[in-house]
Amino acid sequence: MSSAIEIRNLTKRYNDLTILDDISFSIDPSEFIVFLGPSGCGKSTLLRMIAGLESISDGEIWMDQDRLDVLPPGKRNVSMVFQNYALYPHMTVEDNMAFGLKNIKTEPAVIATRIKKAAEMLEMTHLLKRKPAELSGGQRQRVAIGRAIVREPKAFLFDEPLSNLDAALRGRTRIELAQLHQRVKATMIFVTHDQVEAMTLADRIVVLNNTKIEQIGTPIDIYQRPASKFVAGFVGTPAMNFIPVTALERSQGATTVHIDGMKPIKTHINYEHLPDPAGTFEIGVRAEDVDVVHESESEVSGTVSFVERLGERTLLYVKLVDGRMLIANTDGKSPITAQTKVHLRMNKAAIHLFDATGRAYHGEAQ
Amino acid sequence: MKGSFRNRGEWLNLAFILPYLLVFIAMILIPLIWGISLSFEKVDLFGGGRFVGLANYQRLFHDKIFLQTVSNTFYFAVLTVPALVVLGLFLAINLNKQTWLAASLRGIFFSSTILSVTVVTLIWRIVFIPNDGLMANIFAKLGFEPIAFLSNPDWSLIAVAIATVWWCLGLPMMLFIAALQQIPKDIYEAAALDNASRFTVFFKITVPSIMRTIVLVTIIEIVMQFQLFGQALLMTNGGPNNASRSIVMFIYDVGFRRWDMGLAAAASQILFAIILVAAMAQFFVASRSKGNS
Repeated sequence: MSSAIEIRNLTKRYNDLTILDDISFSIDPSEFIVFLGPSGCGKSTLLRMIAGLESISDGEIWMDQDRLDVLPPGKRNVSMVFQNYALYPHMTVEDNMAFGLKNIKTEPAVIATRIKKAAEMLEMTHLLKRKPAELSGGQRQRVAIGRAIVREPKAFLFDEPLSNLDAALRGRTRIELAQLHQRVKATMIFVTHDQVEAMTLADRIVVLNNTKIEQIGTPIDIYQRPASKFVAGFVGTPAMNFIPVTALERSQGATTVHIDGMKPIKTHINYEHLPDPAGTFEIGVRAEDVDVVHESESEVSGTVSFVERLGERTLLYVKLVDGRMLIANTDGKSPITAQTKVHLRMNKAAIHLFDATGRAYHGEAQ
Repeated sequence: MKGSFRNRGEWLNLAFILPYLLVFIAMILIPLIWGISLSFEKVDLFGGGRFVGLANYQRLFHDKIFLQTVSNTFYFAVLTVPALVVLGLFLAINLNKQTWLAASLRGIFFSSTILSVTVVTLIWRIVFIPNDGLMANIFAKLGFEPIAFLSNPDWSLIAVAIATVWWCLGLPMMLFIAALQQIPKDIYEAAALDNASRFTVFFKITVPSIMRTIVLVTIIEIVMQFQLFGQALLMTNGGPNNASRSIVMFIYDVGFRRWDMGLAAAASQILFAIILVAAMAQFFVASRSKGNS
């Protein structure tokens, strides 16, 4: 039921506008892949090209041993869950699910069995005789997933399917999708701009930006070892702190960073891996890797200008002496209020360096 | 207090619809009731009427010409209404595109609608006229015996129907295009992934999605085509031998040529009843079949 998909040198152009430029990667059987990126990065276009709903300008798509991009959408053996569900409004839930199977002349008994099984799995047996207009957003979502399941496709394609649900339902559906994936063991491709969805669902994330793939990796990889400044800034809430570097210095193989107004910071980044240590650099550090400490242990001090209490933790928006903002993290019960002076220390192992092209360098092995 | 506020709101609502209500009563309701009462009277254009009960209706049901105009009008509606719906939908589906060609063709097909009936009939007389007409020339070129469309009793109403379909096609086409554009694109994409053939997409997706517009167009066309007058008057003058005479032509003749207003009013009531029943029947059939599916 699950298949490997390979994208080879895929390009999409609308007239002079390039949407995707020479994209290549492969998806393993049963893998849950998430395409993540900002609006307009081409992630939905890529999914629709796999589905056959969008023409391709260049390149090939393969599924197992078959070339996919030459086949019409119906012959590709993929099911898609659309952002607005795309249920047939005049058909009952049951007919919606049966439609694709009837079109390929499936035995009525087989159709009935599959619908029954899918309806039970999605707990929507009581909805089968209703029409889409009589369902809530979450129920329509289930029907859309059910319609995809009954076809027993080789791959499932999801085009931002959770974006129309409210926050609570989105969280629940996310978990259900993860469970569904474990149960049906099919290849799944999921498009989203929501990094939480990407982090929680994906086996691997493909981060797309500006016609190219920025990084492919596991959620932990993407989060802890972002390949570029774009990925570092796009993934994670709040966004990573970036601070321009004054100078870099070699110290026992590692790199010490000098920044105006701060004490030198000895990072774990191998100095030898930096192609041009004299160039322009920025450090990047996430809020959770910036702690409030006693003055003697700190690298930098500043005044808290805003306190964001998130419950289990508190974010401090600290204004440094030179006017720059640095977001720091402290525990949820912290008594710190705005206008308090605080001293901050960075977790040296979690500091990233970015060169002028946005390329990232991390601590330990590169 | 609360009650008086609500009352005030209701009176205010009435004030907003009052101008139209007055026009409606003066121009539609009173003539309608007056017409009904006239149909029970013996009356000419000048001078008062005399109540005669159902005598006018009795006369109509024994009037061979009237009965023929009723059957002519039904035949005409059968010729035109389905053709307008089917052709309108066909054009709409094929011209519902964002291309320069489709936009131009939409304009061209709609343009006939804005012509007056006089111009339309003039054009189609040139097409159908014997000897020098377009059809006569085509038939001659193909080696067939030309048909005298306008003077042959079997063809005259068909000729009027063809001209009418050409004239009226723009509105159904536009209404269908508007309806087609309301269908979300993604359900067609879902259908493509669901292996639906073009045939299946048309009958299982498109037609059910625009069912309300199909019913609307059918009712509009029933109401319009049962009132056939100008085209028949100008193309064939109801001839030959009343073969293309419509109910409205009969009403006009009786009322304004023979000045028998009572009889004309009675014929009008029958036409009104026919249109009402036909439109209601269409509406009920459509809403029932929708409920069943």
